[in-house]
Order: sequence, then C-alpha cells, then structure tokens
Amino acid sequence: MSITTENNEKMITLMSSDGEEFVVEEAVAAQSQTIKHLIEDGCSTEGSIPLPNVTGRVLSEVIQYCKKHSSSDDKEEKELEAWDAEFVKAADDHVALTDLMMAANFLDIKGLLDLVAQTLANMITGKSPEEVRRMWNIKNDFTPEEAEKVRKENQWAFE
Amino acid sequence: MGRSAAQSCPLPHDVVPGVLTGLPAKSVARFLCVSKAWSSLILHDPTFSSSYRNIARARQQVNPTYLVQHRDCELDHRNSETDDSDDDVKGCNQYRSPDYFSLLDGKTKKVKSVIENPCHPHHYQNNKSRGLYRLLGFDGGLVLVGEYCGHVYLWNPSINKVKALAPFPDHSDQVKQALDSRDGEASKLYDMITYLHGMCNNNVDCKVVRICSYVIDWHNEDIFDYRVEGEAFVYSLSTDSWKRITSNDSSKPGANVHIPGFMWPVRSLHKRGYSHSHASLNGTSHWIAQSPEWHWPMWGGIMTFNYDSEEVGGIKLPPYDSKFAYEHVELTLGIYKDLLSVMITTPATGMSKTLHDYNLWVLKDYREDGQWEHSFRIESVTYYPVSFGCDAQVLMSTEGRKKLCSIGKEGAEQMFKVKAQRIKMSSRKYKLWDIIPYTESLALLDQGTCLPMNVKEIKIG
Repeated sequence: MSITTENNEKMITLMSSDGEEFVVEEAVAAQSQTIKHLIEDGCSTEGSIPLPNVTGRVLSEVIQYCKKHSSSDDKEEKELEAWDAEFVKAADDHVALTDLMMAANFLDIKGLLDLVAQTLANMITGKSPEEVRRMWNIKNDFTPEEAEKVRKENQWAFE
Repeated sequence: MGRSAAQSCPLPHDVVPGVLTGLPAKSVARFLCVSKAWSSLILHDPTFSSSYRNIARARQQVNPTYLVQHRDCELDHRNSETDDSDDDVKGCNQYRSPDYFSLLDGKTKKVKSVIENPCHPHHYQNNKSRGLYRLLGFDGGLVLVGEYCGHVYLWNPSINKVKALAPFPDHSDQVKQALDSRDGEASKLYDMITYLHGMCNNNVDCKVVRICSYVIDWHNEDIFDYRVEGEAFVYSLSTDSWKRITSNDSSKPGANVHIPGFMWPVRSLHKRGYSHSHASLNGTSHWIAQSPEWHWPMWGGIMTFNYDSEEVGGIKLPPYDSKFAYEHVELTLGIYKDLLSVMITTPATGMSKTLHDYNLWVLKDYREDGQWEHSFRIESVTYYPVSFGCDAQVLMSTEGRKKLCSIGKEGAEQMFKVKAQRIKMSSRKYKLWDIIPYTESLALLDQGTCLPMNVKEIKIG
C-alpha cells in the first residue's frame, strides 16, 4: 500500500530489523540503489519494505542523510559538506560509524558509504596495526616470523 | 544500542577497501601487518590498487603536493652532460653535499617534510656514483631518478621505497662500433650520443625506456650526410629485466629501433638547466627533440615512445612566431589538464633580455597530426617555466632558482616564494632544483628496499 501526500509525493514505508517503521518520501528512499530496485520491481506496493540488515537506530540516521541529500541541489555544495561533517561527527565512535557503513553498503548509498569510509580512514591514519585489530576485532593470523618480515620490509611506515 | 567505544565490532571484508583507499600510502603500508586478509587485499587485489590510484589522483587535484629536489650546486648541462659518467659531475666537481627532497603543499605553500636523497651513494656501497642524480621521469606516484647514463632507480616517495633497476644490457655491436669510431675529429665537434629515459606506470606494470641515439655516416665522401640511429631498451618492473627493442623493419642493419627523420633528443630542455624533459601520457613517453645542432634549417618536434607498440614516433610542435631565431625559442613539455602541452618561451619584443613571453599550447586530440590549441599567453615576465602543476597551473621559477610561483590562465596569481631551506646536515646553500607533481602511491610496496631515510617534519617561518 502506498500513501500519497498533499504535494503528490509518493510515500513508502521501510521496516528495520527490530521492527521499527519509517514512512519516507519515495525520492528520499530511492537514494538507496537497493531500495530503488526493490521499488522498481514492485516490492513496495504490498506494504512496507523490510530491511533485515539494518537496525532502527542506524536506519533513522541513514534516512536523515538521505533526506538532506535529496532536498539539496548542487548549489549548496559547501553547506552540504559542512552538514556531512557534522553528521559523521554525531556518530562519534568507530562502532557507530562501522554500523552506518555496513548499512550504507547494504543499501548501496554511495555518497554515504564514501563519507563514512573516509571518516574511518581519517580515524585510523595514525594508529598502529594493533589498535586497528582491536577496533574491529581482527585476528592477527601472521606467525611472529611473518609479522617481523612484513614489518622489516616497510620499516619506515612504522616510524 | 548502548555499545561503547571501547568495544569492538567486526568489519565486513567488503567495506575494508573503502576505508583503506582513504588512507595515505604510509598508513596502508603499516596496515599490511594487520592480518593476512588485509595484506592480500592491499598487495594482490587489482580492483583495490586501481581504485587507490584513482582516489589518490583525485586527491592530488584537490590538494596539490609537489616533490622538490634541492641541490647545492648549479648543473651546467652544456658542460657537464657528456657520455662518460665520470664527467657527469664536471660542473660541480668540488665536494658536494647530498641532494635532498622535500614535499611542498601546493595550497599552503609550506614544506610538509624533508626526505634525504633516495639514491645517495651510502645506500648503495657498490655504486661508485657521486650522487649527481636527476629526476628523469614520473608517472602515477613513481619517480625515476638516476644518472644521465649510469644507474637508475624507481622511487616511491610516499612509502620511501626504492628499487635499483637491473643494470643496463650492453650496447649492440653496431652501437659499439659507432661509439668506437668517434675518435675522429668530427666526433669531437659533435657530441655523438644521447641517452633518453622515460617511464610509464599503469595498473598492470611499470616500464622504463632508455633510448640511446647516435649519429652515423656523418662523412659520406665530400657530402656531409648523416642520419640518427637509435637503440632502445625497455625495463619491466613485473619481470625486473630489460628487453632490447628491435625494429619491425628487418631490412635495416642490426634492426635497431627506428628514429624518424633527424630527430635528436634535446638533452637539456632549458638553457637555464631544467633537467627533466619527459612527459608520460597515454602509455607513451614524450620528449622534446630537435634536429642535430649542425643541421640546417633547425627544427624541433616531440619524440615519442609507445610502450604497447614499442615504437618511436614523433609529434609536430605547435606553431610559434618564426621571427625568432631557433636558438632563442625554448620549449617546455608537460601535462596540463590531462593534455600534452608545450610552453613556448620567446624573448619579449623590444625589451630587455630578461623578459620573456610565454604561450601555452595543448594537444586537444592526441595523435601524431593532432591540432594544437592555444591556451593562454603571459607577456613580459622574468620568471621561466620549470614544471607543470597538478591544478591547471604552470610552475615558474626566478633566475637562479630561488623562488617559485605558479601561473594559471588568470596570470601570475599565486606567488609561491618558496625559498630553499638550509638543513642541519650542511651549511651549504641549497637551491630549489626540480619540482614535479607528487601523488600518493602503493607501487613498490611488495618489492624494493625500504630506505632508512632521514625524514623529518620541519617548520618554515
């Protein structure tokens, strides 16, 4: 079922993994290539679109981003950049940013994906490999000898 | 979702490339040892390397950075560039301090860091060179540094790795003969052999070309008759070896590479000693070439070497005011807005000797007989072009190479005023020597030697 607003904008409902429902304009939701394809394939006419990989908290952030980016045109590029900077700042830690990046990846929203990836990149630029492993729970699968070799070959990068 | 920052969450593998492409090359090199999955993504995933290149290039357009070479003595090409590497330092045979390099931020005009010479002799004990290196070419973040006819190195300044190329193969017998026969008087008049270096670095491989051109048959009984022959070798980084290029024309003796016309590569592009005359574009190396000095009328062209077809070719030069004698015209080759371009320097009319006019021409459709388009003209300035910037700018330098400025279509708007800095290891005065656009790159990450280079952040007042 689709709802139409006063200014004739088609609305669709998105449902998060934890059952939260979000009613948004189709133009906003279509910023996501994944949702756009679902709409094109006619999946939205029968009620809400389920998004099993995205929690309500993350989805509301994603929608915030999509709303901002569908209402702004190119002329406001500077303003939009500043808004983006504030937006990722609000996410405040790498866990929230990683969640956001995974959602952007699943929903295929390139702008958001690039924005969050660059924010995370800036966050880890000066970090040690150990710190990075801790951040994302990455297992060090090198033997001590292998690790030493890689380290030696790129000594300068560790200084 | 009350997860705190202290907690960790897994990072799905398909978003890792997105994060890593946003990092400086130095950080990527460090994260090689995070895990095997990361290391194999960084070193062996062609999609990752290609997107890292594209993003680094895009970043370079927004935040231009330059690699600057500083040396403590002038290089007089006319006197110092002979074939014999011992003579290579004639122009400055006194004790020399090692060159050093710096990274210059194009926006703030500040020096970001200082790098010791990547191929200073103490890194290579067996190399008897005296460390007179020049920037021979650059492409996609890799820099070709070397002596005029000696050792050459590939250098990636962003991760401080250097690869000494395998030694050059011997000249063919035919070339050896030509060189041996140089003992006569005629050969003393004309320096008979010229070496050219170029490089091309794409996603697949990095290739280096070395073309050796020489003149043969310059005495044909009473008639002064000569032609330029060439021998070319191509190095491939993927195989770490040199290959001799042979001509398709099997009727030619020795089947050397064919050099069109009387094309004679110009050793020194600039009378003021600008040393790299090479531009890499479309998998092709380009150099300014001219007829040999004794040939009349003198003419110039652009000599090309295409790495796919492995053929030497030529592109004609843009038109310039014929009222100037050839020796008063200077040509600077470069890449401007992704197009092959030539800056033509002529003396300013009716003015003092130090003032020049500049015309920038770009080759809109890239082919041998492509049309040159006039881009802009700068009149009566004392600066002269040294390099093409990354943001649609031409970098100009003062006489004596003490200051730089960048010039765009709107004129000399940004005065760089980058002075050569003194560094602690020497009390000698360094000058800005060469300057090239710098791009972050992951090339040589899994090979080459990491140098214990002296890199420091410095503050310029």
